Amino acid sequence: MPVYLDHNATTQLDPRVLDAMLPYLKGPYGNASSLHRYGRAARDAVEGARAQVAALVGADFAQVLWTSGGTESNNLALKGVAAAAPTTRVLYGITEHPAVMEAAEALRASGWGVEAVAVDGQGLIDWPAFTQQLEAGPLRLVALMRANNETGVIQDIARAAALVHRAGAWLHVDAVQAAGKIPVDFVGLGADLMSLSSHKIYGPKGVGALIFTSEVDIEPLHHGGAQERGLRGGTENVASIVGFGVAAEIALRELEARALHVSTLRDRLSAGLRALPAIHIFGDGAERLPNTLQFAVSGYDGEALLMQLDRKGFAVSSGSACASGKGEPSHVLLGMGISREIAKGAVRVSLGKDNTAEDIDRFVEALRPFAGQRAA
Amino acid sequence: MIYLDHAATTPLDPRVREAMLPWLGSEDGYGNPASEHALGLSARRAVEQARAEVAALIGATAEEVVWTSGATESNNLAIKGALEFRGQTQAHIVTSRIEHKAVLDTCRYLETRGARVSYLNPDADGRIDSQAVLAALQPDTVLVSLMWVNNETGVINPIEALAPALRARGILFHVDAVQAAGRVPVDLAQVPVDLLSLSAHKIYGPKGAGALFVRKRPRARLAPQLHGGGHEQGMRSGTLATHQLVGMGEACRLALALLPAEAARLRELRDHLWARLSELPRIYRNGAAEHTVAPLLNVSFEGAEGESLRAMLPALAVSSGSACSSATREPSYVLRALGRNDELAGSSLRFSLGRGTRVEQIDAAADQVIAAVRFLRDLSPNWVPA
Amino acid sequence: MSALANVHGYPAPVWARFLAPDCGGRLSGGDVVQVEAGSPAAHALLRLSVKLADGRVRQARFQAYGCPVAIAVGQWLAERLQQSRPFVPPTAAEIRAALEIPEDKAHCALLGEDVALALLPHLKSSP
Repeated sequence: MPVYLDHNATTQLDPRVLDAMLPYLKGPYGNASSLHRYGRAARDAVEGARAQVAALVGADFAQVLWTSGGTESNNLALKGVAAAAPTTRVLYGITEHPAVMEAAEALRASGWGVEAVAVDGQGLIDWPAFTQQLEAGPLRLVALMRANNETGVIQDIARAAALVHRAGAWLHVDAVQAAGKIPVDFVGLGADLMSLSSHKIYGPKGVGALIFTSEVDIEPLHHGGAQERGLRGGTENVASIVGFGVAAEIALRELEARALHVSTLRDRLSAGLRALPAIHIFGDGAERLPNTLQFAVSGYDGEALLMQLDRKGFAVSSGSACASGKGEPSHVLLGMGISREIAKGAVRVSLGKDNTAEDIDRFVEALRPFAGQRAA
Repeated sequence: MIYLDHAATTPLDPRVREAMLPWLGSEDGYGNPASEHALGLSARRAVEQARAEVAALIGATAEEVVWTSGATESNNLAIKGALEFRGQTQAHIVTSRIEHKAVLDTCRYLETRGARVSYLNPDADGRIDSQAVLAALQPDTVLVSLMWVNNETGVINPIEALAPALRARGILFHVDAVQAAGRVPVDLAQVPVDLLSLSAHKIYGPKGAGALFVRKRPRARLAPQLHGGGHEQGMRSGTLATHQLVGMGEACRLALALLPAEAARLRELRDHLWARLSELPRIYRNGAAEHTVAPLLNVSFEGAEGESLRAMLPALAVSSGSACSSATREPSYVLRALGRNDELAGSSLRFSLGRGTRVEQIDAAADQVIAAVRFLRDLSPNWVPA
Repeated sequence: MSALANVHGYPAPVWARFLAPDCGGRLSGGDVVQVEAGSPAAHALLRLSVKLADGRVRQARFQAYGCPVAIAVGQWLAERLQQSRPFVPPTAAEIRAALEIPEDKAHCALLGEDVALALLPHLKSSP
């Protein structure tokens, strides 16, 4: 069994989540939109899960819209808001997930002004530049992530929200990586929209949510059917929604314990890496997710290193799973002003609830020859 | 409860569930198929095997299958994606009034963006006539979108005849095959359809999984509707849900293997149901029998108001045309398009049989329906016994 | 039919009468008055068939085409016609209250009020 250190890519389904899902993969169920008896049981389960997911981020259950995952949530937020508004501008953080970045860029075709928000060398918003951008003209939406999927760097969303609202725009927060790892408060952060994904919090793949306030005007991405208040057509994926709900409930209940566990391991990893030569840790001057550490072995090609580590039984990634295999250095690191040379060596370790201190020690040992190679 | 609503959704086949479970519960089945490490690669292999099974069901090649979250997304991607890619959101589309809401609502949305749409009516048999489609074409028609099999009546449209004619005219042809797959043979190696939507949960697979066939030669090109990461050849981004897609693959494999025998068995049961119901006078079959798929029977019962009829059948899971039968609270637009008045459309029941249906259930269902219709007719001030 | 489950959640007074419409039917004879009311909105029709003697209701039957609530209203009116003497036509509000009819089915209560009012002249004309 490999040592799995890629929890920001996906997580193993929690057995308790699977137990909750099984009745909906076995028992009497139906189309949640049908009115006969099976349909009503399914509907009750879907609504119960809605409350559980809302509770994870302190939202109201009526604000939760089901989607097929974080990518759809982010696309719906960007394109749905744009389609329902007069054409003006959208801004997105330069280190956003490709789902936000590319959805925003796609709006250019329909005449939108699309601008990236710069970050500093730690991956944190460049506040003076951001403030100027906000004032540079009419603005509908700003998309910023709560925590970065590669570096784990956490943005000051509440501060951004106040500025965005002053500019008369809405703030969309991609909380896919933050939820379940640090406390996320939809209301407290001042978010107007927020994306969540189930499979990053030990729930099933293929389900996510977009949370938004009743103030937000939004046009559906998938037309057809009255599901989700007419905003997202399609037969509900009942088993997965139920799984997402239970995963969210457990994530909320165990958040503190999980965060303490992984941050202890992360510190151990950090200490181990610092003892090796020529290691560069990204964003280590910023507040980061307790489970995430992205580093480069200076000059070493990240993809080659990943393959070596994979052979030795360690599952890690260079950054976003979506972009892997393309050979391009991470846009997140380039956005932080890291050189292409160093960025190409990036390795992301993202820890999970089932990792152990032994996993960390073995990983550092496995890495030692490569780091030593360069230094020699 | 007698479940005769398989056109709405089907129970997960136990064999499909067994195929899915290793990708939900096991120690090494949770990798992200986009990850490069061993866990990711094994998930990717499973997803690609499933893609080949989906392709086999419809006579396509694996690289022509794009995963989606279900038929609603497939239909949206096909229609909006095709128009957006061509930069022709102002163009003309031909579709019909009896399409699924995902197609109709997408077309209505495109109309708000400047597209023009012709909505064809079915003929007296419930079919969309090929000549009527060709007659509706305009110089700037870019896309025709029709369902292979209608979800309410089960009537089969003449897709095989129409596809070559549209190909010859260079017009993209999108087919919603959600109700056709696993119920009639679909062979896209022979039928030049460009885009075709599929859903897993109508063929004993999981909810929340679907696919869009996108032809490679000649290549049908689409603008993605979900951006980010460039999964699915750039046409549909998002982490692939391994267990869901493996389930859809297994569902397709079973559907292909079981189709001939199941079609024959269900046709016999369906005909038996119609024979039993025919004890009642003045009932009307919606959709021509010779053009209807084997598992489906849609009947209007004169003199029995729809909502009361539904209330009298609490142990029978069927779809009803009555106003309260669906969340949308509209009388069946399909039956109205077929020429049924609101009352007959409202008093219709759709029986859709499936893999678990047995003759005893058919007889029990017939008994319940006959008793309910007689009860309501006896109370009706308008009903004059023959 | 009485074993049927009320899975769609009709009010109990409606459901009981829908399942057991004892007064369903039509009377005939020279002393029988027939009155009708229709609700196009609900595609419903309600007919009362009342046998009179000395200006009094001897027997009442109803026929209804419509949803379970419309049928229950017919049954309830026929019951009441046979019980209350003299017959005072109920208002829609009284019908709604008696049968616990929800807002979205209020038109069925109006149907009941209409048909009861249609009967009134016939009762008055009998001394």
